[in-house]
Amino acid sequence: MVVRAGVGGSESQKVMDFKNYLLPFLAAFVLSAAAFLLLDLAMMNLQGLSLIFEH
Amino acid sequence: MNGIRLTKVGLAALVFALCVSLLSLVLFEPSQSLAAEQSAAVDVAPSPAYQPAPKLTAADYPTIAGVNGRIVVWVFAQLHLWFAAFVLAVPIFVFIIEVVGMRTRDKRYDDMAYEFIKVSITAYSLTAILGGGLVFSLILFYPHLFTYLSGIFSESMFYYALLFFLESAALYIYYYGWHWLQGGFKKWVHLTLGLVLNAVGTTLMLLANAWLTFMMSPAGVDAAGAFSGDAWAAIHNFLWNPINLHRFVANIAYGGSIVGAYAAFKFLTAATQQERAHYDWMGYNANFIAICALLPLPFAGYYLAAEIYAYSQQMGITLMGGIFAWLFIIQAVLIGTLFLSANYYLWCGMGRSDGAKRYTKYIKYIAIVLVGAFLVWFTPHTLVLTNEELKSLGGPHHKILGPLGIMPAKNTAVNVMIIFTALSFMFYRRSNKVAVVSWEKAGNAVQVALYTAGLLNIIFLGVYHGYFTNTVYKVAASIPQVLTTLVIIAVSMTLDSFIYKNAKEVGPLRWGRIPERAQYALFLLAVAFTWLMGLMGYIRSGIRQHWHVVDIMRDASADAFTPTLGYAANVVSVAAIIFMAMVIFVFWIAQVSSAKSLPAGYWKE
Repeated sequence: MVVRAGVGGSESQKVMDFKNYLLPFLAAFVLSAAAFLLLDLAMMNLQGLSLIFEH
Repeated sequence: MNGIRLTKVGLAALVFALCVSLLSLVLFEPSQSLAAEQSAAVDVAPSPAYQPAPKLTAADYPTIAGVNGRIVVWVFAQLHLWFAAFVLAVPIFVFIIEVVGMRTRDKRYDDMAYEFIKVSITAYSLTAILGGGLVFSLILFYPHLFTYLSGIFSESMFYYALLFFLESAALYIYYYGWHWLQGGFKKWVHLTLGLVLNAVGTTLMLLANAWLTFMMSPAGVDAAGAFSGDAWAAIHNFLWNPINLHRFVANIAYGGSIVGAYAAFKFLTAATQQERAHYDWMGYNANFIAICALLPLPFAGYYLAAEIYAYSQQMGITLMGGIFAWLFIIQAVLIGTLFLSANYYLWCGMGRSDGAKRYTKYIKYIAIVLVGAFLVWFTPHTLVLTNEELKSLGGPHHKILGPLGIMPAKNTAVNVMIIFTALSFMFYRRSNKVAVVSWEKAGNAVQVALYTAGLLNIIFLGVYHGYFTNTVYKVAASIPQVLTTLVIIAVSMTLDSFIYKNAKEVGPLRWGRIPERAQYALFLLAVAFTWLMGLMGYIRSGIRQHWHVVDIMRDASADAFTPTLGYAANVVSVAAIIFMAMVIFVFWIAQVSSAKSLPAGYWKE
């Protein structure tokens, strides 16, 4: 993470942004994506199909 | 506070809809699905008391004064249905709004609920008159069909008439007793009356639905149409519950749109700022109700279409792959119009808050996504082309755009539209609030992640299954798509309510501070809904083709043909114009009922 001297927003501010926004975003994104994938698998399996097309 | 209360109203409406849908699913027996294809009636033993369905000739259809019987029945049925949808829906949300008013002790809700029910009173009389017109026209123009159906449904028709009296009594006491039954125990009595009114109204709809779905998917009769005597089997036919669910949800959306038009009419004719504020608030609530019911409506529609396919592939193909397919393009345009106008109204409504400017920058992106999804939705699968155009294209399907004409692309588009409409609503709710929780940023990040992951999942399911799999997978993938949408909306709304718990308000909401053009969006919503219901109703009925009762009783009249789409659209459009004229009459009556003249010197002192 590069912080230019004199430009608004100190390194501590960037760290705070990372902690307060980026980190929760990444964690929630991974969790949501996994949950939706599981949902897809479950729904397709319930219909007797796999998520990936099988000939 | 308004946002929270309205969300509660919406949630209550959704819970109610969910209860009805669960009830439908409990009543529904999936094991029927394959057997139904071979006709529901084959293994039913006929009762000796009942005759087979009559085999008619053209001479069995009376000609009266040179009038076309089909058009008369069609127009009466359509007008009756529009009004019935309205008068069944209004008491549902009037009841919910009254409950909210009772819980919050905010009299504005009670006043609004009263005004809504006042509008529906005149409409109720018109519904009954048009229902009578429908029965008479059926007896006059289709006497044998009416005799056959009334033989099978004699019991339910008898109870229908009794319930109609009960509904009338409940409605009139509910309306005229509104100001009498106020406060304490009396209010509970009034609410109970509202509940009775809704229970009876919904039962009436279920009974009438059984008659029309019997004509599409007959049950309780043998292959020749002789009735077994089991009335429940005839009522509980294959398509009954899918229609019940679809109509229940659609009626609420429709009722919301019509009272929204009433509020817009009153807003535009308001003489004082106070009146403008009141009707702006009323219009907002009506639009909110319409949106709440509009969001799950496409899913109920897909469920109905899937069940029609399950009952009869031939009927399903006629529905979406045959002559009626082009009406679905018009349907897509109209539903797109509904979404755009509902969103536009919300965006205009953000002007009521001074804090809205924090979110206005996002509106253009939502608009771009909605328009993009709208374009995908109404992309036809097979293009209408000249021979030269066909040659230059190499066939009726465009190489790249062709797959946009099939259902996975359209499912993706509609899910995206629903999610972005929910996002519009979330921005609207936030526009006048400032969160006070320390984790606001993290909460927002989680919401953005949820929306991003969900949208990627929906697009993956649509693109992968739309382009690279067979039909079975294409249809199956629509289920996780729908559930993804529901999860996004439910989780983000729940999270939002926690983020904005005890939030500070930017300032008082300035009701009435909304451009007049927003009111025309409410009119557009009502007109688009009306036309849409008419056209889709024609499709639902038209897929029976040359049958009065599918595979049982053939239509032998001179009108036993499927009319061209232009002809059908003209009939529906004329009916829609008549309906709108009648609705304007209803609005006018509601207006004059509260007007007073004080003629000086006329009466003795």
